[in-house]
Amino acid sequence: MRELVRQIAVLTAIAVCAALALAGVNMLTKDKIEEQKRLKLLKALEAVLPPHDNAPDRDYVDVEYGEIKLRFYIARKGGKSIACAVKTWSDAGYGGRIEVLTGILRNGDVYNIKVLYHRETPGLGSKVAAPEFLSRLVFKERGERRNLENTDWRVKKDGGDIDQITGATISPRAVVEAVRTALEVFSEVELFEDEALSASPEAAAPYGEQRAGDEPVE
Amino acid sequence: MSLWSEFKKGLWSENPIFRLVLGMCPTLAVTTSAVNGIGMGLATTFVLVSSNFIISMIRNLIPRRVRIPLFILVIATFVTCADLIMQAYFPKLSESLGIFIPLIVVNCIILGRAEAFASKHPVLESIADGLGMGVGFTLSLFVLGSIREILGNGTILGVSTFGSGYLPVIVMVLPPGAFVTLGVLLALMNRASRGRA
Repeated sequence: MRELVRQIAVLTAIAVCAALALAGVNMLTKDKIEEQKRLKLLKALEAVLPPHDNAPDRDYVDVEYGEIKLRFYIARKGGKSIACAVKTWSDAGYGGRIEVLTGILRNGDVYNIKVLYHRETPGLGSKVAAPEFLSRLVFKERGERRNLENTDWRVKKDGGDIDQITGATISPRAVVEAVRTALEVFSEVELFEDEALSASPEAAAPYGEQRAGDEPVE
Repeated sequence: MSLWSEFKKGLWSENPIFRLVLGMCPTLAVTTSAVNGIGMGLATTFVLVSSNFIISMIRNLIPRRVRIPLFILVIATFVTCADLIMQAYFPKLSESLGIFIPLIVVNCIILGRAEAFASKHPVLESIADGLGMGVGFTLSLFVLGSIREILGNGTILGVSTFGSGYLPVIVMVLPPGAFVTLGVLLALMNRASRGRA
């Protein structure tokens, strides 16, 4: 009996010490971890959005589309929304889920794409995360930006417009699917509708100019 | 035994990977690059030294019948600390090591050292033992990771080694490459220490 009490007492004492220590470490690191998460999201957003002057990670619209819930991060410049970014995914990758962040301009053109998460085969499917592949999804052959109308969002093997990667079709197919989802939801929800109505011609003009300036020299 | 020999045995004669062949799960899984190997090794070393220290300190208080749950409790506490600290200060590394950091809890090297050494030896010797085992583990993971990164990716610590003309042997960074590299290194280690042990 005394032995049993001792066992319980020691285990409890150690468990309490462990809990206190962990609470302390958690308090010390909590803010830093939050900050790192935010930095990571911000960095990804910077990469897929045109130059803006707001904090898109705190400026978002949640959209429910069928069964999926998507968060559109809005980029603004001088108070005017100029583009948005949305994270979509496909579970059809070779290594499971692939998550993609797509930046979409107001007119529905793709601005840039970044792969946030994948588990594809290194050296083969993993090339879908490289800019060489992703730029094929952003620009057509003559440097024109792709959108839902001017592009058949399937890989060439399936009869679409996007070149797959030599030796890998499954991973590009999944990425293309994720981007297509992003564009389709974007075209359905009309995020910028109310602003477009109230936008004055002067306010709309700089946007047009800026877009022209963004065209790549290729 | 002196502190130095407690430390030294982890490097070669009782090297956790190549001699004791313990902790194979992280060994095979995370050594796709040299940086991953070092990161995993250092996190494990931290847990190993801390848990050896605490367990050695309280070794006379521990009732024999509940010692294993106690060890696991102490180890899990330090692993969680290591995980949180890495998430806060080394987010990149924490991301590439992923689930394998929390899994240090079940790395048998750590429980093994707690049971076989720290619970029977004084504090300083236990720290030396943990440090030696940790450094031996880290060096082994670094060697494995380097070989796989050089052959499988053409880089070492992210720096290109053979220039752009090199075609990487991708299989080396895939799971089979881990087994092949480990097998070859084990054979070499056995050959090198033949007659010594």
